[in-house]
This record gives sequence, C-alpha cells and structure tokens, in this order.
Amino acid sequence: MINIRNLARSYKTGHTESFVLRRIQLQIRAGEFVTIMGPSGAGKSSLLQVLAMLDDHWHGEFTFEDRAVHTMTRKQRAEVARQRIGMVFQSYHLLDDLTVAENIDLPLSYKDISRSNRQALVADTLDRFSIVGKKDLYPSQLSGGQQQLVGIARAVIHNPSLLLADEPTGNLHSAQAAEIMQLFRKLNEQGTTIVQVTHSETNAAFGTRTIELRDGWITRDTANPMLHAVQETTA
Amino acid sequence: MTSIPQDLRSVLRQIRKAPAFALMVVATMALGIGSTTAVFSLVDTVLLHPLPFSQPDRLVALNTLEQPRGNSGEPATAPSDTSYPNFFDWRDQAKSFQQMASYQGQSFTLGLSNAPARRIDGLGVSADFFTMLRVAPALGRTFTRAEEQAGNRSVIISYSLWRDAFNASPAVLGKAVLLNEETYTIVGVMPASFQFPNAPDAEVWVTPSVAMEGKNPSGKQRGWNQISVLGRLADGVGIDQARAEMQTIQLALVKQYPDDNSKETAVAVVPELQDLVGDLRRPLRILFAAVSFLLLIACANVAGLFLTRTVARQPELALRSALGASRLRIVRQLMLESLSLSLLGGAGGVALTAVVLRLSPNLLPDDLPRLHELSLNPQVLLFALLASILTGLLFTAFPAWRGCRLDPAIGLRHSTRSATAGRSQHRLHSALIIGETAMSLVLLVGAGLLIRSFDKLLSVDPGFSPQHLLTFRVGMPSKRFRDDKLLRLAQQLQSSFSVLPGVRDATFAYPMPLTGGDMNISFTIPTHPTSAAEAPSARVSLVAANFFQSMQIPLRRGRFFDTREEQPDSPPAIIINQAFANRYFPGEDPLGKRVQSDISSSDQPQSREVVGVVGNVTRLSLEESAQPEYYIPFAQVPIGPPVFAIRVAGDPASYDQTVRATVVRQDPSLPVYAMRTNLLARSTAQQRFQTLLISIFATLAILLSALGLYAVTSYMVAQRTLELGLRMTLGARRWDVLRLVLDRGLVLCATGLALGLVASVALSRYLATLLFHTPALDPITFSMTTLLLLAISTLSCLIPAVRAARLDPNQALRQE
Repeated sequence: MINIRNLARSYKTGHTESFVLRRIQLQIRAGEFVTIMGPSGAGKSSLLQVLAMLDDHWHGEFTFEDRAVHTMTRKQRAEVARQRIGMVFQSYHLLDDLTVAENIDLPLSYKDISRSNRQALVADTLDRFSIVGKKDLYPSQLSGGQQQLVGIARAVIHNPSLLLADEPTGNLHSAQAAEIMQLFRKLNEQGTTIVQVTHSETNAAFGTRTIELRDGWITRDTANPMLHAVQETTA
Repeated sequence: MTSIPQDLRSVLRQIRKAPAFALMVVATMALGIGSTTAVFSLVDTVLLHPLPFSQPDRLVALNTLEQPRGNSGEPATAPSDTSYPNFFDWRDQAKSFQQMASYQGQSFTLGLSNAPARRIDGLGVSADFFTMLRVAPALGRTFTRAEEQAGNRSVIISYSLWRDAFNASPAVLGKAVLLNEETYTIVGVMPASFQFPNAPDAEVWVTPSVAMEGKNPSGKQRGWNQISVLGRLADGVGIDQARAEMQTIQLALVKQYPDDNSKETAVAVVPELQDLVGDLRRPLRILFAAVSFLLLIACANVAGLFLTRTVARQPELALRSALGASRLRIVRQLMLESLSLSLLGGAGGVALTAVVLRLSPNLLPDDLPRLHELSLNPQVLLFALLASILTGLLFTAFPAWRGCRLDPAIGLRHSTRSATAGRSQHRLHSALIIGETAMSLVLLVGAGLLIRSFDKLLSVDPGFSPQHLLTFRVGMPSKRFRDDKLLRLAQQLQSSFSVLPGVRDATFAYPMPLTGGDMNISFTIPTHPTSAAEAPSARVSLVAANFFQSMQIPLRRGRFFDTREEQPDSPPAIIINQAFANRYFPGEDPLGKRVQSDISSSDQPQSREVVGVVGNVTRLSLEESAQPEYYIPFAQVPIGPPVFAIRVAGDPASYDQTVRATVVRQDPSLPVYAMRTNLLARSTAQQRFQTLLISIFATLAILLSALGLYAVTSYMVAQRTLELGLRMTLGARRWDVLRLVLDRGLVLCATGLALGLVASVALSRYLATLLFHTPALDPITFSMTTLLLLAISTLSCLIPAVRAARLDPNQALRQE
C-alpha cells in the first residue's frame, strides 16, 4: 500500500538546515496496524504528516496504492487524501460549533455525496460507534473518550483505506485509552490499514508492527529485524 | 487610588507595545469625533447658540402672510416683508412690544478722499433698531425718530470702517462721509463686537429718510413691501398674545386700505432665531444625524479592535487576576487605556475641526446665516470632550466586562484560539459589523439620493445659456444717475463692453436672472378687467433691447425688442413669457393684446402692446417652477441700476480687470461689484454643500465599515486557523475554505444591508424636503447603493478569505 524510498524532510532555520526525517525506507502492506514510536523530536509526527499528504516539502519517492505521490501536484495529493485517508488527532479537533452528527458529517460535506446519502452514512456511523444518543450534543458536552470516539467516527465515515492516528489516546485516562485501542483493533480487523504514533508501549501492543524513529532515522522495525544491520552495512 | 499612576504607566506601556493599534484607534476616533464636532459647531452656531443680544428670546420677527392677488388659487402662507406705512402703524398701535424696528438691506458706494470708491453693504434701519437690540454705540449715539424723516442724512458706521477709514479717531463724530455721492454725517460708531446676524457684512446704518423723498416716495407706498420688521416683546407678554394683537391690527389695516393690503391678511410673529434660520433647521439636523452615524460606525470599529485586543490579552489578564487583581482593577485598567486613546482621538478631532472651520468660508454656502459666528468656542470644545469620554466608555464597555469576567484558570490554560472561548466575541463582532454595514447603507442611500437630486438640479434648463457669461453691477449713485442719465450711462457702458476684444455680446437688465433680484409688480389686462384689490401681479424685468438674444432666451411668438425699444419715447411694448401667456391668455393669441403694468416712469401706468412671447426663465432658483413674468424695455422705465451681462470667448473670470478698466475709463468714481462667473453655482450652493458633506460622510462610513469587516474577517481567520487547517485535513478544498470565510462575511454583510434598507426606507422620508425631482424611495438609488456596498464588503472579505484558502493545513495544525 505504501512504499517510501529515500524520503527526507528538513527545515531551514536561518542558514542551517535541520533534518527531521532522513533517508526513510518504508513499506506498509494493506491491512497492517503499524505503530510509530520514538522520543519527542524524533520525527514521528513529521512522518505521519507526510503519510497524510499534508506536507509537501519532502524529497524522495512515495508510492501510495501504486500511485506515485512524489509526482503529484498539491491538488492531486489533497484529492487522494480526501478519498483514501482518515486522520485521528490527539486533541480530537472537533469543531465546537457543530454537533456530534455534524462533526461526523464534515468529511462527507466536502465530497460529491447527496444530502440523503450523507445522512444515511452518518446514521450508520453513529450506530456503528454506539453514539446515536449523543448525535445532537456539542463536543463540550462530551467526555474526552467520547470526543475521541467521535473523532474516530469522523475519520472513518468515508471508509478510508488508511487511518492515521497521532497520539490518539494522549489526552485520555487508561480505561478510555484501552477502549479506543480496542476500537482501532476492530477497525483493523475489518480491513483498515492503521498507522498510529504513540509513546505508549501498551498502545503499541495493539498493533501488528512497530517502527522506532530517532533523530529522523528509522532505527527499529519489528517487520525487518535486519534493518539495523543493513543500515550499518550501507553506512 | 494610589495604584492609578501604576495603571497609567501600564497604559503607556500598552501604547508603546502596540503602536499600530493605538494609532488606528486614535485616527479612527479623530475622524469620527472631528467630523461630528465640526458639524456640531455648525449646528450650535446656527441653531442652538442664542442671538448675541440681551434677552434674545424676547426678540421676534414680524412678517405679513400673503394672499396672492387675482384668482391664482395659491395658498396664503408665504411670509413676506411689509411696507413703511404698515410698519409705522404697527409700531404706533401695538402694545405687546417694548420696541419695534424695521431694517432693509442696502448697498452704498463709499467715497473717501484717500481711497478709490468702493461698494459696501449697509442697512436702512428705523430709529429704535439699536435700542431694541439693546446694543449701545461705542461712540456717539443711535438714531432718533426725527431722523426717519425726509432730508436727514445721519449715518452710524461699523467699528471696522471707523478703524480702517478713519484711523479709529475719536473725533469722527460729526464728520462727513460720502455715500452714493451724498454727504452723510456720522453720529455714531458701533462696537467691534456688534454684528447683526441678518446682515453681518453691514458697514453703515442709515435711517429710511431717503425712502421718504421724491415725487412718489417708496417709503410712503403701502404696497411697497420691501422692509423686514423685528420686535422686542414687552415684559409679561407671550408670543401668542403678540400674534393675536398683530392680527387684529393687520385686519383693521386691510379694511382701512383694501387696495394695498388686500393680500396681507395676517401677520406671522415668530422668534427671531427661528425666522433667521428658516428652513435650514431640517438640513442641519439631517447633517448632524448623518455625522452621528459616522461616529457610531467609528465607535463600532474601535470596539471591534478593542475586543480583538482584549481576547489577545486574555492570558495576561488571567495572570493579573490569578495574581490578585480585582475585577474593578482590571476594568479600570482597560477603561483607562480606552479613555486615554479616546481622548487622544478627541484631541485629534478638535485639531481636525479647527482645520475644517478654517476652511469653512470656502466650503459653506455664503448665504448660510451666522457664518461669521462659527468658531471653536467652549461649547464646541466641551462637546468634543464629552463625545470623547462617552465614545471611550461605549467602545470599552464590553471588552472590559469580558476582561473582568474571565476565569483565570481557563484564561491561563487555553490558548486564544479556542473556538468555544471565542463564540461570544464572534457574536459581538458580528453585531458590530451588521450595525456598521446598516448605518453605512443608510448614509450611502442618503448620499445617493442627494447626488441624484443634485444631478437633476444641475440638468435643469434655466431658460437661458449661462455659459461664458460674466455678470456684474456698477455702482450708479441715484443722485447723479436718474431716468435719462441712468439709461444713457447703461447704454454707453453696454456699448463699451460689447466692443471689448473677446466679448461676443453685452446686455443689461434690472433685475438679471439668478443674481438675487426679484420684482413683483401688479398689472391689469384691459380685456380682463379686475378691481385694484384683485389686480394680479407677476415678476417683471426691465431689459435692454438685445437682452433675449444675448441671454439666448428662445422666442416663442412675435418678436424680440429691437432698436425701436432703445428709445425712451418709443411705443410702450411688453414681452411676456410662456407661463404668463398660459395663465392670463389661455386659449388666446396674446400678440397685439394690451397689458397695463403698475411699473412706469411716469405717474400713470401705461398700457403696453404684447409684441412677443419668450421661453420661461428661472429667476431666483433652479428649483422653482415656471412663473409668469413680463419684460419691459429698460429705456421706457429706467428706474433702477441694472445688472450687466457680457458673453465672452473663453474664461469669463479673465475679463475681470478689463471690465473694471472699461468702467474706470467711463467714470473713475463708479465701483464694479458683485461680479459672478457662474450664475448656477449660487443657486445650487446649498444643495452642493449638503450633497458634498453627506457624500464625504458616506465615503468615510464605507471605508470604516469596509475596514471593520476586513479586520473582523481577518481576525476570524486568525482565530480559526486551526479549524480551517482541520477542515482542509478532512477534505475541504481551497475553494471550500474560501467560500466558508466569504460566506460568513457576506451573511453578516447581507444582514446589515437588509437592516440598512429597512432603516433607509424609514429615514429617507426625512430627506424628502431636500430632494429635487427625486422620490425619497428612488429604486435606482436604493439598488445601486446596496450593490455598491455589497461589492465593497465582498472585496473586504475576499482578501482574508484568499489568505485563509492559502493556509498550509500542516502549519495550521501545528499551531495547536
């Protein structure tokens, strides 16, 4: 599903250039549940932004579902992301002025879907996530766990093939976090490829593969135990 | 209270910290307060400030109410002047007044041994004029009743004339001064502070003695209604009581003199200030309302700025609160900040007012009463101060209230980008924008209606060609130039002007259209006989034989005057205008018919043959409808100093010196005055002034509201960066974001426009009396102004909307 070769991302600060991602080589197959870990500043979120096609300022090759993202324009990338990718955020990022149902409907409102179809999809999703009773509530009236549930419902309503989650349980207590992770596992089992960024080993245990980043380098990949040796050889 | 200096230091630091914000607030308030104060000074001077005399509320103006003669069917409502005989009867019989005095505007040729002759303004006043006003002369005395009689030549001069022409000599009393080539004796000098508001430029005051002289003196004709009358109410007498007494007296006079007083059936007694201000009350009130809208828009803008700033300062205010600052202390600090900036804005406004007042002589129509009193007086300064304080409190109230209600825990925890925390600010911002847009539309519709009206006024055909025309008067003292001599001088000057290089034509008339003169004289038509009391009257002009060709007035029937009518003893002829023909010869051919006008150079009215019918001409104002008018050859009735008109090639103003030199060659003692190059300008001055001022206010209002909308939309985009980034992450295209921002701005704008339209419909009827041939609900004006404001508002929203659409979602999400 994802094939990344020699991807690098840097920021210019004055006359110096700071690399946050260095020569990333990464393949993710459809149906995987990948966890990206690493200390703060290692480049985890940067890699997730690249995968979400929100960041255009990288170098290298990036293929997504056999389409060469590196040759696409910004508009084409946005279109692919809109159709195929869902995002879950640490701070939920629900819109305060919209109800639960309206928040979930948001990604559909940017697609050419009729109003009745959208309503049906929203109703299905509310039912699927067991939040029908909360559809008319505003985010401020929900607990953190419930807000994240809505965030995930919103991320998957358009049935993306790839779900990206940035510290999805960072603001939740452990019981709520476990529920959310169960939900991710369920979604993964239903066929959605998931890439999550987390500091939590417990959360990582819900995944099928763990990648570790340090100083912009992939330093560990449970799917590729020989990675370190290969890097040392190539270095 | 000991912490106030500390708060003031904090204010200074805040200004230093955000100078652009401070500058914007001060500039906006200076504009709002300055404009309002300038208009207030005008309203205060003209409408509110009492007349500069002792007990001014006891002064009343007395005007007769006319019933038009004949069967014209016009209502008896037009207040008009009266005659000396009527005035003397009023003065003798009325018990409701301490004093009653008459005045009549006059102009004189002032002859001084040490300077060339010049034309000056003066007043012919009855003896009690100064006593009634409670003004004592600086030197000498005022007039006595004996001096009202024929043969008297006493004069009281102004302080400026005494200072400039007589070097402020105390020995001026008893000295002679030449007025219209007659010797007058100076009996008094008025103080420097004295200015009569109805004739502020008067330099001399004489008695009506000249009007009492001659074979058929005008001062003894009861039908010669040319004088204005003022009275001072007696102690304990109310205006209604005085009105009732005057009504009784006038009705008795009508019975006593039915031939001359049949029209003047009532007397209007109104406060002098009301009479002086006349119909200016409404336009001035409308101007003040318009500028108040501008001030409110400025306040709304500044309130928006303060609100934004208070939101940005929430963490700081929360910190202060967490560190123990009481609500009162926070409110006080915010209020001190806004009041300081508002007072600075007020100071800027006063400076702006001073500049406007300095320029006002060039901006204001010169017939606006009490213009000379316009100044930056203590009332105006107090108004500016109060306006500054009130607006400062007004635009700081909500931000301060919000600032003091802030929960320090929330303020410290949340960033300012929290959409939940911003909801109430959004609502207030929205309300401010809606209000600004609505008020701007009201102003814009007002300006649009006045512009449409002004345009229609400018497109009025005056009935003659005013292009390349120079008009002027030549001072011709009546002592030296009467009858044949006056005619000869006028014809000689006409000949001299007509041969000047570049002059295509020269003519003269008494009076000349659109130069301020008007003469109504009764007449009879032998084929339609009426009694003397029922005789109709119409405007009359005494004109040179080439008048119609020179002025390019079209001939409808018959012929113009020609060389035959240049001779005094030519057969009496008359030319009537189309309106005269329509009213008095309906369905008849007027040519060859006889009209007998009461204006005549002999004692008896002459019967005149109608030789032509010409087009209608506007005489006093472009706004007037066509009036019946007749023309008589000047040569046959040379009774008044004519106004000259020359039509030239190129710019008429460039002929000023040539004309003066020509008159000097004829007679160096004759002054040239009242030179005008644009006859229409005077007639349209007041409309031009109203239209210009409201257009300026509307333009400023649009600019301010556009800036306000821009600022609020930009602020909204900045506050919603995270949300917009999120929406883009969730699939919103740039167009979706652009539309989202634009929609929000336009919804506010559309709401404001809807409210503004309702308000404009309700308020435009107050403008109706100022409009010329333009309906108050003119659909073109309403639609065009709405579209214009919509376009400007869209542009204001578009810039931040485009900026929002260009957001990098990645960057936006990082701002979390």
